[in-house]
Amino acid sequence: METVLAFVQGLMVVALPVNLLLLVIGITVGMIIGTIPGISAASGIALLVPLTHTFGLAPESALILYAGVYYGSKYAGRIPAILLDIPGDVSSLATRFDGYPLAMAGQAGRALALTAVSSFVGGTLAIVVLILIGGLFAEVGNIFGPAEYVALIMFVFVLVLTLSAAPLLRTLTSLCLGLMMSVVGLDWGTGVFRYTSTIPELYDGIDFIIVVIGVFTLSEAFLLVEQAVVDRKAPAVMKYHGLLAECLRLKWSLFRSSLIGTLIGLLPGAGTYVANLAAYRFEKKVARDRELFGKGDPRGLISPEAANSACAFGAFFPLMALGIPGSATTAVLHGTLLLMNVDPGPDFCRNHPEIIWALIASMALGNILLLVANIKLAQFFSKLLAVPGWVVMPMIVVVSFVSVYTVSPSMISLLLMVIIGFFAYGLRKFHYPLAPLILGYVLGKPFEDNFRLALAISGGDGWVLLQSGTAFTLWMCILLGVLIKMAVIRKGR
Amino acid sequence: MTERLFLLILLTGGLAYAYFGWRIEVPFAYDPLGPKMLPVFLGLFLAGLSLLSMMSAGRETFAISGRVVRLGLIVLGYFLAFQFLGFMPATTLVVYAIARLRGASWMQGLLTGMIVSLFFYGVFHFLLQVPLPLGRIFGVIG
Repeated sequence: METVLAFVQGLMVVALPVNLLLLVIGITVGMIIGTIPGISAASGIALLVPLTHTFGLAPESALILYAGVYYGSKYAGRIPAILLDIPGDVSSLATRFDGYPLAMAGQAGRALALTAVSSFVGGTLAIVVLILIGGLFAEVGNIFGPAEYVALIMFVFVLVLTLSAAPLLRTLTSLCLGLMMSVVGLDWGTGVFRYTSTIPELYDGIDFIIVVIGVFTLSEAFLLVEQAVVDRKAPAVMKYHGLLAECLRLKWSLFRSSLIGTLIGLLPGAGTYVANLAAYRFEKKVARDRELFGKGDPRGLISPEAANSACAFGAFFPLMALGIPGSATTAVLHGTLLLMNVDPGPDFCRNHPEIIWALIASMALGNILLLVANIKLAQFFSKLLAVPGWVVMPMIVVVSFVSVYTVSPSMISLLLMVIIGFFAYGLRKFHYPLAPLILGYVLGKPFEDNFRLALAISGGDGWVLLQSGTAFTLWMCILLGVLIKMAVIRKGR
Repeated sequence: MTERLFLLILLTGGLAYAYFGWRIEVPFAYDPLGPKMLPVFLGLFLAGLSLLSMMSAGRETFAISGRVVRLGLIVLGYFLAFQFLGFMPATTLVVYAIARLRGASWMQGLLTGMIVSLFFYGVFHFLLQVPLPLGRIFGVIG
């Protein structure tokens, strides 16, 4: 009963005209970002910052807006994946395996309608789970002290290393670079400036927006310019009539994938692309006629999308309850919320449970709006794919400069962004993954702060890191993760 | 560019990072670890990873295409012109140059450049009240 009341209270917050408007704006912008190839969800969120930075939004309004952009873009990433065989985001990687063949067979409308429903089902299951565990948002943080946080962040790092498809050395290098960037700035314990020289812009560390836009947006522009100028023509999207019957026929695939996505989302350190691929592989494994996968099988289409959507919603639990992002995009979301004076973590959940419930309620409403928009406006969103590259690319560069200049108006900040952009382009060309870099950058400071705090409390006794049951369990999981990764590497040889 | 050269840059960067980390002067520290340990560790760790990568892999190579070089120069030019020329003229030129690079006609490029610069200046200056640079050059002339 308490849960129902809290949810209704959350709905009342969302029902305020300003919040409703921001929810609609958030999911619409998210849909546009997700549809246009070349703008990842992470860059899209970062590029929006200057627009909202100056408005001084209330915490719940900022949360509703950015959450909408995040799951809206994850929802829409399937459109270019199905119609052009180009995933709008890495989280739609597996969607194109069966989506594109269906579109090529003249069934683009069917593929888009099926994935709209599967995303809705996945999202609904994750939201129901979030409602059921809503009370835990404030509770779970209570068992985490400095030692437990060190173990948790290490667990996230190991999970990222274990699940990364890139070679271990490259993933580790990327993580190390992110951690190195997080060190720059004033040290809290001693008042010492590290790697700042005499540049005031670095005293508070390298600004989050500079790093994100350099790493994701500017480097993306360099990759885009390499591609040949081609006139992309998306196949026609026709209305599909047998949607309900087909969804009922595929109900167990939908349920399994939604469950996989929700569980992966609740886990800190595993992003939507893991859920997308894991659900596809699982569905293929349990299918009797697995040879049909990759040739336009609807099961191979709905399962990754249901998991992707479920994971996107589920990821709000570790993000808000522990302040731990699970992927590059949620890391960017975390940093953006910090800029908007929303500090995700146990304190925030304890002090503002009404905002957490408003977030959950907004996601429930946003999920329904996305279903309606994706069924009714499928043709409109598919037309966005025709926006020419000569409009998109200059906009990316201009908005990058304006975003950084608005948040940190100085030439040094712009120069830093350009240098990071060039460097990230090199990393991308040599296939270094960028998600570990951004996670290292975001989690580096809390990792060091908690590590040093735990040692300061214990008078330098390193055993303090293992003493509590939670920390010990997490360290055992870390050990298990390392062993699994070593076994995988050995098997690969 | 070869990966070995890239790794050499990372190796040098890692060593320099560790060296400057070691030179951090700490007047007092309330915790046993202090602010030097992590930077030194990370710098040496990166140097170690770069060395290992050089020995085990590091044979990839890619050619930096002409278009990337041109975009790089345009971005650098935008950086230099942003305050000097001001937001609107610099943006018009940059959008025109990038649009041309992506296959737009000169008319499409010019129109896009003018619309984008006017739109962003209007939104930021009048709606959001965020001042964008008007251009030092005009200040000098004026």
